[in-house]
Amino acid sequence: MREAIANTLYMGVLVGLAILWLGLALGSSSLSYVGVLTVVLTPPAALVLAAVHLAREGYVLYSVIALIEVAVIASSLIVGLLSP
Amino acid sequence: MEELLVLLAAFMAGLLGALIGIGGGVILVPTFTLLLGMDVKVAAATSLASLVATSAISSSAYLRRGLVNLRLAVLLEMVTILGSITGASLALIAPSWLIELMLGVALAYATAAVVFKALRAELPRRVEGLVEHSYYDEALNASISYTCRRLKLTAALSFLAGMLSGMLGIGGGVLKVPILDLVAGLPLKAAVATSSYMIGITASAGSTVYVFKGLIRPYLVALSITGIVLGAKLGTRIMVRLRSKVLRVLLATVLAYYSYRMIIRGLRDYGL
Repeated sequence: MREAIANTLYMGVLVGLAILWLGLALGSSSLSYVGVLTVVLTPPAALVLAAVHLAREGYVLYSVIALIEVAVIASSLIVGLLSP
Repeated sequence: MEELLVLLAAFMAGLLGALIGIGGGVILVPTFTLLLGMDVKVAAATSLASLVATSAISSSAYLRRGLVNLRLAVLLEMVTILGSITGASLALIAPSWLIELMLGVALAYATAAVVFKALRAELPRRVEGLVEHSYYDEALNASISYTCRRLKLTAALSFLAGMLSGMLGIGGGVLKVPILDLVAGLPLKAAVATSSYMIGITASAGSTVYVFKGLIRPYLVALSITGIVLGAKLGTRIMVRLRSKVLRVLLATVLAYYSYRMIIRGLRDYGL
């Protein structure tokens, strides 16, 4: 499972970077921002996997804390999206 | 030419970030502001988004080697996020010179403590504590087991680190590594790896807001991440082979630099 978390972190950045460069090459700012967002949202995606990993190992409290952190990041994303 | 400078700065940020568990904003922000003449808010936002890559690339390698203490990272990150929110709110009322001076003195103390610890034995003592973990140290060719000492104090200081981070808009790594090393008693490599992992979560939370504010420059982020990926890949390979004493010297140098800059900035903001 640690391998899956590590792969998510590594591949998330590489895929985001590829999308970002593609957006820049095509002159598409929205595609570029999708690339940036993919990179930025990689750690919370890995954190969800970490929560699953911790729950599987029996550390339910730590797993819940990890999910709360994901919720905090998600709420800051929503605030950013909705604020003028 | 400017592109080359950004790539080089990002490479250094990735390398340093992977070696001593800091974000690398100390290199990227001055590059964006001083060399490219960018607005400091745009520079900080662009740097923050790029630092997610430093953390992700470094910590992915450290996770594979079992260096990241996931439970401790998750636990302390919660406190750090709360501290960061509190700090951002307090920043509106507290004088910035006082915070800067406090941080400068704290970092000077951390520098002295890191140097002092470098002069002592390298292998961590086995002590009773919580959140136990173990990893294989390639440089020592030995398996290292440890526990987190003084968890409550570590959590309290992580809250303060988050507060200062939120108040000053600095990355938390420069504070997290000394706290994990000196207070929690983690072996330095575990402290660096765990801090690397935590930085990504903090930076991600901050960056999500900036993305929709249009403060992030995608072209610079692309250049920065490209440099960071290369630097961090090299940094992680070097770090696992280095002896802790070498890492300590490197960490102490960066801490001393931060301390000097904070004290000077604090005194200047006070009017001296």
